[in-house]
Amino acid sequence: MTAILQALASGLALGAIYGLIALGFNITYATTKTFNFGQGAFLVPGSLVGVSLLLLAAGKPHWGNLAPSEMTLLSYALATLASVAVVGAIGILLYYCAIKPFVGAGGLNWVLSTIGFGIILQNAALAVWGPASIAVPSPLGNEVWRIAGAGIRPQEVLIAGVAISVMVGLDIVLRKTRFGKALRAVAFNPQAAAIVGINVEKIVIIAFVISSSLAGLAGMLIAPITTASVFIGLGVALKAFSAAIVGGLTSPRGCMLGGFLLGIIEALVGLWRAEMREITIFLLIIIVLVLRPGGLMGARSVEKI
Amino acid sequence: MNMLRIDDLCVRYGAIEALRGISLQVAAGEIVTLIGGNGAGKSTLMRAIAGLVKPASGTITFEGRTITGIRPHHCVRLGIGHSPEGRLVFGDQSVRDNLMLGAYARDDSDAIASDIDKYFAVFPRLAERQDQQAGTLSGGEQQMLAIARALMSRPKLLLLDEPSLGLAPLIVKEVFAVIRQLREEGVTILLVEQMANLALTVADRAYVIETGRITLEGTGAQLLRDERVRSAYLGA
Repeated sequence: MTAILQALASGLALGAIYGLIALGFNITYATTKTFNFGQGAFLVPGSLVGVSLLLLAAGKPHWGNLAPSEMTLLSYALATLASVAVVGAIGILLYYCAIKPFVGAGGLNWVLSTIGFGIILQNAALAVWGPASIAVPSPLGNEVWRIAGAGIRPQEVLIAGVAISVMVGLDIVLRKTRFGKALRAVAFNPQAAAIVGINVEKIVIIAFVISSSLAGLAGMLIAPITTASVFIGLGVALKAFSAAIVGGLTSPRGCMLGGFLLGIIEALVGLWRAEMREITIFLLIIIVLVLRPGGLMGARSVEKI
Repeated sequence: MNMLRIDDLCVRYGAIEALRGISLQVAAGEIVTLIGGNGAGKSTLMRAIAGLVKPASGTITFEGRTITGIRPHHCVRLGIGHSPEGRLVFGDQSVRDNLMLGAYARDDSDAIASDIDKYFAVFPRLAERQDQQAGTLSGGEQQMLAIARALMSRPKLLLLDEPSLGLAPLIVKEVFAVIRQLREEGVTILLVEQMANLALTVADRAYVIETGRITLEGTGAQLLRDERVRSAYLGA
C-alpha cells in the first residue's frame, strides 16, 4: 500500500511534467497546426541556464555541482524565472527560423525544421556545458518526507504543486481572458480572427513563447530528480508528445489529462516490473488511438461542416 | 470626398487573374453594391480591401490614405469592418464572446458593453442565445452575428459579403431591413449580393463585375432598368 502511494506521488509529479509540455504542444498546434518536434532540447537550457545562474551566484564556474546549501526556495524560484524567460526567447527564434518559413505552405518541412532546430540547440548546449550531468539539490531538501508511511520526495510535491498551478492558471487564461479568447479565435480560423482586428502573427508568436517557456519550466522542475544535463529532454518530450496525442492534441484539458495518465501508469507499472513500463504505455496508447482516433478529449475526426 | 477609392486594382492567385484592373469609388454614407456571377471577383475585391489578399498592382485609398497591401488587423483599426462570405463566426465561443471579439481593436470597455446591448436590441434572437456557442446557431442567426460582430468595431465602412447566402426568404428580408437601418445611422456599406434585385433596390449605386473587370455602373435604379442587367442577373 505504501509502495503504491509512493508510486502515485512519483507518477503525479512525472505526469505533471508531461502535462506541462503537452499543453505547450496544444497551444502551438491550435494556432498554427504545427508544434515543436524538437521540444525535448528546450528542457536542456531550461535546466542548465537556471542551474548555471545558481552556480555563478555561489561563486563557482557555470558547470560543476551544486551543494544543498547553495540552493534556497527563493534562489531556485528566481533561477527558474530566468530560465523560463531565456527559453521563451528561444521560442521566438524557433518561430522565425523553423516555423514561419513553412507554416501554411502544407507539407512536413516544419517537422524537420523543428527537429533540426532542437538538435542545433542541444549541440550548442553541449559546447557550453559539456556532456557531464550536474547534480541539483531540491530547494526543499533531499530528505524524504514520510506521509502515511510512504516516503515522498519533496521535489515531487514541488513539481506537482507548481505544474498544477501553472496548468490551472493557463486554463483560466485561455477560457476567460481577452488574450485567451483571441488565441482561440486564431485557432478556430486565422482569417476570421484577422478581420476582427487580431494581429494573428503576434498571437502565434506568443503561443510559441508560452510553449517554449513551459518546456523550460519543465526542465528546471525535473532537474533535481534527473540531474541537469544536455541529454535529459528527449525521453521526457517523447512521453509528453504521447500524452498530447492520447489526451487529444486539440484539447488543452485533454493534454493535461494525458500527461497525468501516462505519468501515473508509468509509475504504477514500474512498481511491478520496470521493463514492462514502456511496453504497457505504448500498447495502451495504441489501443486508445484505435478506439478514439482524436484522443480521449480531442475533436472527433469527422468534423461537422 | 470619396471614402474608398480603388484604382486599377489587379489580384492574382498564382496564374489566375482574379481582378483585372478594377476602379471604383464609394462616397461616405452611400450603399454601393457589386453584382456579378460566381467567380466574377466580387469576394476577392472585398478581401483585398480588408487586407486578406495582397494585390499584384493598383491602389486602394481609404479616407485619403493609401492602404494597399496593409495587414487586416490594421484595416480594422482604420475603420473597415468585414462581414465575410460564409460568415466565419467563432463557432466554439459564445455569441457574446463573438461580439466582444468584434470589438478587439477597441479599448473603451463601457462603450463596448453598450454596443453589445445595442445589437442585442437590433437582433433579439442573438440576445436570447447570447450564452450559446455560435456554432450551434442557425444559418440566419450566424449571419446576423457576423454582421453584428463586424459592426462591433464601429466601422466607417462596412464590407458586407453575401449576407443573404443560404437564408430563408423571411430572414433575408430581416437582414435587408437591418442594412437600411444601418444607412440611417450613417454607416457606409459596400455590399456584395447574389440577389441582385434586392441589392439594387437598397443600393444608391452599383457596379457590375464580370471576370475581374467592371463592365457597367450606375445608380441602383438605373441598373434595375438596364436590359443587360435584367437578362443576366434579374432573370427577366
